[in-house]
Amino acid sequence: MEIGHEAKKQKTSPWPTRLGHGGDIDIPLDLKVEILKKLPAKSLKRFRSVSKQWSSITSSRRDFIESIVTRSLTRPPRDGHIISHFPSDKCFLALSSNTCHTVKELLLVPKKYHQSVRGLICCWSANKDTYYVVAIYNPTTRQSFYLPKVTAHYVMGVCLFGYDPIEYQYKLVFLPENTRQESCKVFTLGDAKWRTIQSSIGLGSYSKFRGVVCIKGTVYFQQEIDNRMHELIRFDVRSERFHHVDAPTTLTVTEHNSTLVNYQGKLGFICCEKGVEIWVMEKQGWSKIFFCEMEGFQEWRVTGVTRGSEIVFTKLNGYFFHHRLCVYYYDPKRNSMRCVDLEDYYTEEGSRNYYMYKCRTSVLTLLDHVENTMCLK
Amino acid sequence: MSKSEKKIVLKSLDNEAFEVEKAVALQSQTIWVMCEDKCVGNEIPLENVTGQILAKVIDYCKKHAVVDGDGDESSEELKNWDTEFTKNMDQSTLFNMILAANYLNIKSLLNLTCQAVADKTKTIDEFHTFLNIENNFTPEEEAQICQENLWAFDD
Repeated sequence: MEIGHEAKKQKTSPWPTRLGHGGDIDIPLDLKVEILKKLPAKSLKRFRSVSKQWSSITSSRRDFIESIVTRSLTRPPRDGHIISHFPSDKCFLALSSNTCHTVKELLLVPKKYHQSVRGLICCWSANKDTYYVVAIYNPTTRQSFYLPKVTAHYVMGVCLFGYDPIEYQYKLVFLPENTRQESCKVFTLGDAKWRTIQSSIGLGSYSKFRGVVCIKGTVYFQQEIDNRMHELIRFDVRSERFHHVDAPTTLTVTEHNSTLVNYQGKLGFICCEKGVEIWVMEKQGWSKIFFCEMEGFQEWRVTGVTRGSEIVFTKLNGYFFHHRLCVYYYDPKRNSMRCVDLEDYYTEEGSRNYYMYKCRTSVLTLLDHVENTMCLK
Repeated sequence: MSKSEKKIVLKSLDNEAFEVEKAVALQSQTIWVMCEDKCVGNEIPLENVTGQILAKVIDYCKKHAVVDGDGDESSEELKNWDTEFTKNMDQSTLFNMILAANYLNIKSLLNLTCQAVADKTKTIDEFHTFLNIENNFTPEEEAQICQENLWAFDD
């Protein structure tokens, strides 16, 4: 009886095996991974040098990365603020939460336009004097990845960034500007080159400051039809197809100051003119869920809506030296405003004074920043 | 229901018997399945857990059980209790608790004990010895990775 018991124990599981050194207990790999999932992101990065296996688990195992992303979503929300100076080439990322500010770091990425998906930031620059550059930056690992050149010759355009939660793929779409082509370029993260895909609708003439959002595998964006009208388009990241989406004229008429947002996991837009209007797309169509009379939005731009339904504003044309570097959060439920002060991020350089009259600073707030340990390659 | 039906006996690897409320024991999915299958009587042999560890697991389950609507502990209080519970456990106890939580399939206890190990692991050396992992990077590779991740080392 006793012998049989022992034999069974050895056969079925790696249960308390006493090892020679230090009386350590060896636990199965799956449980070690569970412990790993509890480590702070910074430690994970540091522990990459522990072994090849650990390095590959933390940087590429799907369930692992998924658990890190999900873990961030159960914690108090943090927002990323990308602060860039003109004419300087530098830009900084500052993270803020309800309670505190965290690190500021220098970003070595194209600084012009940014969109963030699951903790990865897509950046691109379309300056006339430089080549069109697209990069993905992962602030959790501080890794940046430059995509191959989009086209052999210089073309102006814009990039959309999306994530397909079914195939676990990140994709970038390049839309050439001022054309109505029925094709565009797509890049899947992990691949070596851009592909050309056909679309059933004309693409191009994209409007930059009216928001791009990716919700549950669909990227929503707007493009200009003419000077007066925009159309709302959705791109299905998995099937790589474009479709028109019906939208109220408050969104599509150019003269309205409306921005697409992710409102509590649904597509929405915010129009700030004589007041704040919040619209949300439900199954049965669009509905206006909030309106409040208010004034003074001319100088402000909506950058999005937080998990807690706060609307976030930054200066439309950037901050000059006499503006305090603040991002405003408006809570429609309580009709209250709070401000995140980013002024401290300059003390180290003293650069805001240095640039004084010449410098303009722009802030782009990326909401609900999550940690993602994925390795970019 | 008679009193005996509400109680259950858990027997450890080293033949220590613990009589506990069924509601306490059923937090373990493994015991729950055993009871559902009716493949065991009132006494459940747990051949993977020692008496010393099982006693601790039962303490945890008692604290977290909702017995006869008696679940009025505030979540804050429960959290503090959890912290105290793992605070003074040594490494081998913690590891045995992880193994027990995994075998007994008590998700919250597994989370708690894994978190406790993670919290106590600060340096790479601790990580190597704690989790018994062999470093298979060449010194050159290791130096390169450390160089890339210098920022992660300044606390």
